[in-house]
Amino acid sequence: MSSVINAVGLACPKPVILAKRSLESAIKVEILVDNDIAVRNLEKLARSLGKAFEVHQDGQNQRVLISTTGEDRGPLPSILSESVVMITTELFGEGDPKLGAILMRSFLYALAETEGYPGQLILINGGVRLIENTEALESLEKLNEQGTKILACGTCLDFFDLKDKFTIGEVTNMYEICTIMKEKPVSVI
Amino acid sequence: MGFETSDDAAILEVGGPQNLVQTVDFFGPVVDDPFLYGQIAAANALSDIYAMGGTPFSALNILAYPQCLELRQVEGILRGGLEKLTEAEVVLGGGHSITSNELFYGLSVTGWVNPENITRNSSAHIGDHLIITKPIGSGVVINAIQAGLAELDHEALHYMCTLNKTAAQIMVEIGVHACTDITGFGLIGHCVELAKGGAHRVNLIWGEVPIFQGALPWAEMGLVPSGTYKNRDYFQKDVHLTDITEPEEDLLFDPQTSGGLLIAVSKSKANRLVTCLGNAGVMARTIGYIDQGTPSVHVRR
Repeated sequence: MSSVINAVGLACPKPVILAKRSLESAIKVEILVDNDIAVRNLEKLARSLGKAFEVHQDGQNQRVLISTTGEDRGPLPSILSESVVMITTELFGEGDPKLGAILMRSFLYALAETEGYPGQLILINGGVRLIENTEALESLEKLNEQGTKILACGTCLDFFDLKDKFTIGEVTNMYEICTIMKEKPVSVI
Repeated sequence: MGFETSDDAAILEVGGPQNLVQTVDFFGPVVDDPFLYGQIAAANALSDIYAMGGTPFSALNILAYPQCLELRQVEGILRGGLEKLTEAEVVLGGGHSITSNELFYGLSVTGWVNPENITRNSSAHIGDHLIITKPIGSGVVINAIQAGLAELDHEALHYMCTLNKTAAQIMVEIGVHACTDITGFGLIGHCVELAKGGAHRVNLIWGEVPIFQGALPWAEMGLVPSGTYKNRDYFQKDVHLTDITEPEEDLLFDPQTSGGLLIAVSKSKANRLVTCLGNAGVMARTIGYIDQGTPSVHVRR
């Protein structure tokens, strides 16, 4: 279901309010606005709801489209769980480093093999170095294909000089990580 | 004071031990409740006097209202204004009203200030700590109230109605270097004024800046006032942000209504100021410091 709103002549925050209300029941909303600020605020709204955003010139006005198509993941498919896994190290557990490396590869392999994949996987500190390991990287790529959102700490990627090598997900920061920890159940390895 | 720097009010030497200080402020309705609107407008107008270290003593109403507005609503606005003037012990000497297509209310306010206590916004010293007395984000909260996502009992409205009187009295007693009140230019805009006025660098620590409840997610959602964009366009060349997200940036530029005082105080007096403000029931948070450098504002986490 989609809806069309004429918000020409309406001052902020009216366009955002109308769009938001529509999106509670429509999967697609088209809003006509007459100022750049409304366009920018509608873009923020789309982003915050995880929806696709487009804008086209329409005479003197601008037509904004917010929808659930495009990059939006929509509600999590059932093969993904709400859980978040945070990997802080290259080695799984303390004790023997060789064993730790083997266990980490097995862990990632097992994680990528069974349904109920984590909704998000965060790599931080030593965890970011896993992208240098072929087997670990394969498992991470597989998880990414299943829909797991892979996030790597930007500071850590910089520290280990891996920013250019990280291509399977998004760079994150401590603020986002804290927000995720407040909202979802997180398992820390 | 001169016109080279932009201060909060006009100061006039009129002979005698005290100087006269004058200001005027008015704006459209920020909330639908007339009584609340009146209170906020009055608190906002009085604030400029307090920000100069002065004491207001007299005010005149300024009102423009659409003819379709009910009389009891007009009365509500004026009663709200009077409520705050009474609290501030300020005489309402009259005022002027006209009918208009749009609604505006505010006041012209006159006060006294001891010449030795004038707190300009151009006199911060290197090494000063920066203290703020109200959280920021009122622009976004006002939008959220309009959107039905927040109610009229939101803490921001309480803060907007709160006079900066007590904060100003304590600041004058302790002695500070500079002060301005945080209003339409947003926290960052007023910090730029402070920086340029004193030719120093202002440093803010985002983690210390108090934000109203809900303001950050509402900013993320796009409930950002148009004033935020104007502030950003005007001030951004003098602002450097490190590791600040977009909604956080929006809050830094968020235009405030009847905001708190932004005080630059010497490092040695900063703790005492914060303690005294706290003891008097005024929220006080150290959010940054002044150091040497190109007049600009730097914000980091």
